[in-house]
Amino acid sequence: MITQQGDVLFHLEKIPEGKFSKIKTNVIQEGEATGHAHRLHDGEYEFIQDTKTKERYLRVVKDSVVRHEEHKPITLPPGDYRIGIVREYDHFDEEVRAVVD
Amino acid sequence: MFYGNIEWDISWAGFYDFILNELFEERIGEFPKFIEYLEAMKHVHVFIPYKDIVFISDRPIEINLNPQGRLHADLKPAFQYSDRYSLFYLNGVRVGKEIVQTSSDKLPAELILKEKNAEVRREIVRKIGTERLCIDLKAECIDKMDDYELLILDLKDGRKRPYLKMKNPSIDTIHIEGVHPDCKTVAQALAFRNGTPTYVKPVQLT
Repeated sequence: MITQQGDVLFHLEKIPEGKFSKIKTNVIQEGEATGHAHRLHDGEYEFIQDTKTKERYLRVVKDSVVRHEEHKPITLPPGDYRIGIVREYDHFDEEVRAVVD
Repeated sequence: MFYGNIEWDISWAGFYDFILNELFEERIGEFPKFIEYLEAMKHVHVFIPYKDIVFISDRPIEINLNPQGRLHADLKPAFQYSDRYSLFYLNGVRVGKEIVQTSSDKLPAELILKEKNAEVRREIVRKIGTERLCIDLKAECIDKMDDYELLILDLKDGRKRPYLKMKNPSIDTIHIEGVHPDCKTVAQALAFRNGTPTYVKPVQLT
């Protein structure tokens, strides 16, 4: 199951075994050009990163809201989510990269 | 033909200049040619020495770089000498004057069809923008799903480039992004975009 706000994807899936570090911010993704950001508000959550794979996860304990200047808010119900960023293909550089707004 | 660029000499000349001035100041007079050369470095940029003659150029009056330190300037030369001899660069790629000096909204998309150099083509795309490129070159829609369209851009170079046209559901704007060349349907394009093996429709999308 996927929840999507703009370029950020929340994949509802079990967090794998591993070593994690806490991410001490409510900013999930910040736009380089615009300065706009996907931010967590309210609710109760734990934002963590796998120290080996660098994959980021969100453990939502109580309904949490994600807000962004250009998108309607989304509510994440309790559960474990892997954070993904959408990709694009540059046909002239011939490379895949994360979309940067 | 040997030619020199003063920028290359600054490292070694600076080294000896420091030694001479800081450690052997009293012996400066023994090296008149070196002192003369240091003075010339302040004014000369490139030199081409022959047996009886040396061609020199003065230093450029303007050098523009992008944040990555590559020669770059839009609508003006990246590199210019006092006699107006100029070089035009976009993100470190040497391009024609007309590409730089024409504003992006007036630059014809068809220019890319004539350009053979891949790096120059990339800079033209960067300047024109993917959206206008797809619209002006009439990218063909090969699949539709919900608010998405899969467009194929054919630049007549033997490659078909797929782009996904989509609507931001929150603010009603349209934008276009490149997707992997293997994508033949909107579902495949969305799966590529989301990094999933197959397309999974989001339960919430804003």
